[in-house]
Amino acid sequence: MSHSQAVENGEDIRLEEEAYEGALLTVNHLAVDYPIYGGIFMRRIATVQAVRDISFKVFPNETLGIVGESGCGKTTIAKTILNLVESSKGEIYYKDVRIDNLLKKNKYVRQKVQMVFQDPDASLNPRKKIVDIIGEPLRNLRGMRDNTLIRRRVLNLMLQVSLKAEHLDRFPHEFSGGQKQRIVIARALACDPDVICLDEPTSALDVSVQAQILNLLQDLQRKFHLAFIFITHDLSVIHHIGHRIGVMYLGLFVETGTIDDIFYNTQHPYTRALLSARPAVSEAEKQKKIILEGEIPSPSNPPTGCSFHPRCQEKMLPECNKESPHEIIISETHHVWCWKYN
Amino acid sequence: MKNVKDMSKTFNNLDISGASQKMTKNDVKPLLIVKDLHTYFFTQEGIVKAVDGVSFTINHDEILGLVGETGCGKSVTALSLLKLIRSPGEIVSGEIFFDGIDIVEKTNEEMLKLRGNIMTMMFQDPMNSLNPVLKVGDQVSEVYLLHQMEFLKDELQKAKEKNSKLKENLKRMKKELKTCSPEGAETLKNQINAIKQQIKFRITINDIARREAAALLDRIGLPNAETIVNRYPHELSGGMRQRIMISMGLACNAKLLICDEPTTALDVTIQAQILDMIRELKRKLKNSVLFITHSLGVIYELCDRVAVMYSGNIVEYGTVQNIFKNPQHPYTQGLMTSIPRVTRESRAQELTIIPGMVPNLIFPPSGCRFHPRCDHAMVICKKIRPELHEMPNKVQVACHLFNKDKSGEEYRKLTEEEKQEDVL
Repeated sequence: MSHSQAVENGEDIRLEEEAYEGALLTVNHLAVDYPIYGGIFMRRIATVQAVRDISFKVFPNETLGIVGESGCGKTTIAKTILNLVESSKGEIYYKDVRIDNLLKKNKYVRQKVQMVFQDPDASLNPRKKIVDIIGEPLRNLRGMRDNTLIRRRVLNLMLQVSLKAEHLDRFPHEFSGGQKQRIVIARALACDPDVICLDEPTSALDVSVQAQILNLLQDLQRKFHLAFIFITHDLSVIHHIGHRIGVMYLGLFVETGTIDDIFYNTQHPYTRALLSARPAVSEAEKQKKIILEGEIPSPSNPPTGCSFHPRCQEKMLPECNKESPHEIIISETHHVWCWKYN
Repeated sequence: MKNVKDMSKTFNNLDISGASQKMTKNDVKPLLIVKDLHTYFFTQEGIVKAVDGVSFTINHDEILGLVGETGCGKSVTALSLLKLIRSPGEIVSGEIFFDGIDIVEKTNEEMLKLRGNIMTMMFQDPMNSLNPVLKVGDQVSEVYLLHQMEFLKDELQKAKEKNSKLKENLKRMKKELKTCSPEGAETLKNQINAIKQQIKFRITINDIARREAAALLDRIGLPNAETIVNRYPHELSGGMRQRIMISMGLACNAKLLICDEPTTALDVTIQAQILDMIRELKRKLKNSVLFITHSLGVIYELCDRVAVMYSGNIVEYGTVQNIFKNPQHPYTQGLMTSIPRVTRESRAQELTIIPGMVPNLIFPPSGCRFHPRCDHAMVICKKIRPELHEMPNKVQVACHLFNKDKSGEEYRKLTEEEKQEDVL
């Protein structure tokens, strides 16, 4: 049976396919600017440098966590990968095809890279039935027309995310927050993607529901060999679900590494502060609090040198406020951007 | 904190229906007593029993945490304490005593005096709680104008006296200027100019209130408080807005501060700042805090005691140390295990989850409301609602598992089908 036939019958083709070994998604020196218009002629008066220089790779069966405070550019990265926002510099590759300008036209790549947004309420059209919501990518990207086939495929997807058959013809307002997030995940899965960008998928949910969704995501990853780009500000969530982490500050990575590197061999002062600020729930996890002063600076006017230096509580070196730090390789997986380790 | 002391003096001068006399005597008694509170909403679909028999106390100088999932009645409990429940909602029965004052009996006019003055509330979203068309300073000073008129009048009197003294000085100096030598005239002129700048043409009570507001923001730890009072809410960041909300709560040195998820919309680093600030202020002002949140981590960091709510009831209630070390109620246990922990051992394990969803509050399950999701559900759980019982470690738990005699048909475990029977 060919793939297209299998899809039309509502079956999952992924199980037959062999897992791809190389990097599914490669991002090289990505930069994104948002212009600010003002004045009487609405000219471009300033630029917000949301993302300044970001590079990473994502492999199958792997979750890459992107962590940082609000306004550091996490969501912009995900939006740029999906070409919802245009990049100003850098390249994005899916397998070995450059996709940063291709995605709008190419329906195949659109199917392979999908996104789950933060607020499940806002991502579902309140006037559509669930079967139409999940079936929409099948119609638009796969070109499926047969309603019974679409219905069968949607049902299959809904069972994957533990929704029931009777939910097919309901409207979004009839579901709880956790169920809505399941619907959004099912829609992202509709076209057998390889990479899913998850933008704070659990931050609007209660802890008990969050646990359900995290377990579901882990199951799906194991089953379909998915690569996740998991954007979050909750470090305990990424500790649980992630494999590698990039800690962002003001459009730049300050530290990247595996979970062990970041959590148990923390190097950058910002990562250390972020880890200590997380409220602990047991004596074993309690750390001495490092309370950062002030707030994240405006990305339209970032500080000179290392962007973290105005809030940094460690010893200042003369270079800190003059030049941005270089990438320092601590181990093969662990990289840090800080003058302290030069 | 000199100013705060002044304020507490003026606070005692205010007559809040004879409460001030009782206040000193009742130091040993809890600050707030809530007994068997029932708040229902009478909607077209049916009666929503949002709060159904909640009892707790808050002692002086204590932070009580109220934790639970969305829709368990945390916020409705808080709003009931301030009598802010709007139609179709109603406090059906129950008693609320705040420092000897019966809150349930109070009329709306009387409540207006109490709210914001002796008990005050901070809401989740600071953007929705601040008026976008008014300057921040005006909004903070409004609290003083409403509740601290006596104090403001005193301050106004003082300021006016100071002003008239300056005016006298100015007159005297001007006279001297006519008679003195040309060398002295130069320095005298400079002095006159300096005084002229200090003299105000007119001082109103609004000026005093705004000055107090700036001083308050300064105490809260906002940098450049003088410039911030002239800004509008949209010009401030989330953390700053939340600080403004806290300062409004603290303006009258309220005895009880009710915080309804004050850090939910904030980043972890800003959350740490705000929690630190609440802790610090509580230490200085010795007031009590009712802290509502769904984050167990925040409770563990901040609170002294905690009440765990589920579907309109308190299921476990005791000190934070005891509950977090050894949760007894199956729901609390479920909540604890569903948090991802940051330890090496926990990573490999899958999170244990509580199956099912929060029940519909119009038709809640019979007996113990948690029984359809509980692993230990028994026949009795379906019939009788458990009361809070004190355990050996001083924690109160509402669960039939801890009944003494557990023999007979009543204590047979329920099957899955039996559990789901009355779930809608």
